Amino acid sequence: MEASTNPFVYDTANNLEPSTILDVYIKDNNYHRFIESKRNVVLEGERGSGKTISLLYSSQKVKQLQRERLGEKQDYSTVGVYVPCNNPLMHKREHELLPAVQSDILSEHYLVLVLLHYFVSTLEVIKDISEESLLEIEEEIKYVLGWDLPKNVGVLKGMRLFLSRLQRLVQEQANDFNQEIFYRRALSFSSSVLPLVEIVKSVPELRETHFLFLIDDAHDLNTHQRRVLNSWISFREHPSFSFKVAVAKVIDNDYVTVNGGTILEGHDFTAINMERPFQDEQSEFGKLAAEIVERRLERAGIKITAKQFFPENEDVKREIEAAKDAVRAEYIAAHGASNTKKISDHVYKYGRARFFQNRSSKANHVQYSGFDTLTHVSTGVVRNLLDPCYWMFERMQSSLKEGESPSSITCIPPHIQDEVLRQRSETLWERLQHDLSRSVLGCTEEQAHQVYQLVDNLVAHLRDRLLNHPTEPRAIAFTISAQTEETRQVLMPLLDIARKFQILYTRRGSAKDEGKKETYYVPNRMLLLDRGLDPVGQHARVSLKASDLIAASEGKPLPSVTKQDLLQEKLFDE
Amino acid sequence: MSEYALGVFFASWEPRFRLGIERDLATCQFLNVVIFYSEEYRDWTTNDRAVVSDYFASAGITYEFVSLDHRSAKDTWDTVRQSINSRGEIAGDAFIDISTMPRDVLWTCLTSLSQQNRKVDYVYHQPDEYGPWLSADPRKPRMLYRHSGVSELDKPLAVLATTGYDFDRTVQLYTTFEPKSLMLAIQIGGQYNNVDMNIRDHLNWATGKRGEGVVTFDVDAYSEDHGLQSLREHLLPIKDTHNIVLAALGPKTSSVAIYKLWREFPQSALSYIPCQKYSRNYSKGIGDTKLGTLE
Repeated sequence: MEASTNPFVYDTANNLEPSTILDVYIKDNNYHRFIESKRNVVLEGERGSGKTISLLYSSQKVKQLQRERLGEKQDYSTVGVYVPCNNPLMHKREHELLPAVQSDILSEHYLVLVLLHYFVSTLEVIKDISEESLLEIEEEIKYVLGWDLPKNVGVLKGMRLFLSRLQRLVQEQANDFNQEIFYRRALSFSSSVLPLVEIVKSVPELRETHFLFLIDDAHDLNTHQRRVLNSWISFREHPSFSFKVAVAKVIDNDYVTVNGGTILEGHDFTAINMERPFQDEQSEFGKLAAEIVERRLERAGIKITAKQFFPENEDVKREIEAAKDAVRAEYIAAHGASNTKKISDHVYKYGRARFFQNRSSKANHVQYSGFDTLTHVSTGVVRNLLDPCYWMFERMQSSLKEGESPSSITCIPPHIQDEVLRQRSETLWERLQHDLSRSVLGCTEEQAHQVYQLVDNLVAHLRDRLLNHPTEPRAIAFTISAQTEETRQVLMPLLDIARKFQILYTRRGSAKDEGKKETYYVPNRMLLLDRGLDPVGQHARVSLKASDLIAASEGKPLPSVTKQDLLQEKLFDE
Repeated sequence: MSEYALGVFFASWEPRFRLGIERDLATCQFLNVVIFYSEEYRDWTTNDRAVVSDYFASAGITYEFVSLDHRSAKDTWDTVRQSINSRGEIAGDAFIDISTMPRDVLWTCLTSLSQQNRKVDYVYHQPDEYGPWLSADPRKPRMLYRHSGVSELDKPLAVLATTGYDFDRTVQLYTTFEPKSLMLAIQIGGQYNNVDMNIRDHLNWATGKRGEGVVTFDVDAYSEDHGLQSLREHLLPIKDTHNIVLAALGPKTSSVAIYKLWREFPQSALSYIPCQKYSRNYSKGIGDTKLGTLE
């Protein structure tokens, strides 16, 4: 966003200026209120799902800028402290050479140093702390913590320099063969962070402040550090602070504390899945997607709705409506017109499928266009929404005449949308085939090949369903049945790789049995376009046997849909 | 004949391990020799270890084979350090054959030998040719123990790496550290299919990431300084403004250059990338020999 004229350029949030974050972030239909709350929150989602930008939006720097822009007085009721865990201190491994207890102490010391550094850096951003309050803080720090701050540089800067010195000392010691690795004056959360927070809150300007520790990329912490963080989270409902922790999605996320206890979702923290399960127009994500696109367009001087900017191909729209009409007429002819809900449900299930079934007999491919299509193709991940938009805009920009401004682009014609979407789908398949083992840590070449075959066969199966399934043709989500420990050991690592590569997303939804929750899987809908499937999908899940999925990973197609299968298949409406 | 108190080798299934020792013994004398080998690939090196065993025995050299569990970074570090340190009383110069030595073992040896105030000569035997693939399934990049530098949280991160035939490893470096700046030193020349296996992939990838802080420059690991001057020139402008991670993914002599660079700038971190799989046909034959001294 910083140098490009393309409004859909996507940069990692860490590279964005606070002003840009303010410009592009949409807090409505997002999880902003959770992050601003006093509860502990765990944000789960893969890259591109919006975790970092959500945290950064609540950081003090951004909030302060926002109030300045609005001409409002600064409000310190909540102060966001952004803490990125992917930093050089977290990559250090010298603690592994120590006995377990010392190793854990040193690990925690690194984490606490990082937290303190960003806490103090955040305080430096706050300009409204009086000199008198700063001196009070200085006195208490000296007395309570024993910190010997440098003189004549200001209290807050002095604190940051003091902490920088501590960071340097522990690293120099770890790298000095003439010294022991273990740092005997290691800090802990209770010995340093807790008292420092209380010291800072003792001054009038921050007495009512609740600090939000916005911990990003917590999956980069080592095992002990994660458990330490979990222990901090177990300080739930602490009036002075709370934790908002962003992690890449891990199916078996470790919620164990240092004492071997467990923090509980709902009790100790609220879990938020950043990958949205529903993408239709009326869903939270559908509305968010429209706002994101419209905000970016407005910023580029293009004042238009997302639907107008990404219009649907009118012929395709007519054909889909005609297919729906045909399906409606057939149902009414067979069952009468009295039950409008049943008619509507029937059209929902079979209308679009009929369109795709009709297409399959024709030579030309389906044209994909329209903002709704883009939203569905994103599979509920913001970056997946912006990526094709970016490439579409680039295509339009490259055909502008000399002197024409990018803001003169008022829509992306449907055929351009279709071409770009197909290209991006093809690219994703190529990346799946060639880049998996280099992109996913720990993925072997053999596993990469298995994952490709699994996904290839899965999508072929979904196409089979779309063209032939008599009851739920557009179902594209699936659950796994008949899992044994044996199949789990083979299958789950492959699904985990697919998830990390973001060609498969996991969701939690209600199961039919006793209202329990179950995990189900949704392929990245961008994959579907290259194979001529409907990215809009249907709110239904198919049940696939673990053994069949394993066979699919070995190159065997999934069983074709038969009536016999229908009797045994578990299908869920949401 | 050069005389060395201590010789250090790493056993491999590559022919240049055994052929290299033949060359080494033709020009050098050793009092004491330690030959590390990977326990994971023990079976692949059994025959060649037996052969070189005879070489050393015939020459009247005291030698010891030391197994390393290379899947454990701690075990590798402790064992290499202990093996070198236990020979601290054997006064004299050291010789290290780096041809088939993993980078973390190489750097650990260089530091351990330097701490004994020895003059350290190294030799690198090039192969005749490399196999179609060398290694696969890289693990997460790691910083070498006690060579992890001193970083400051307010500074951006730069990664400076020499590139090699395993493009996957370069990508792992980038995705793990997420640096603001990635400087790739790409080996020049057409030797060993370098254009197809190294230059092309890296340049294509870097071109796609040009706006994201990825830059490339040329380096010659086979020159006298193994590219050290070129590496230094790219590090100097950022040494005070960035935290720096160094990695050597290119020809083994570039590992020496990277190590020397680290010694000049010890606030930087040495990083390596273990792999899960190595090719049985890693290389064939033996080519030229490069010699050097760790100043």
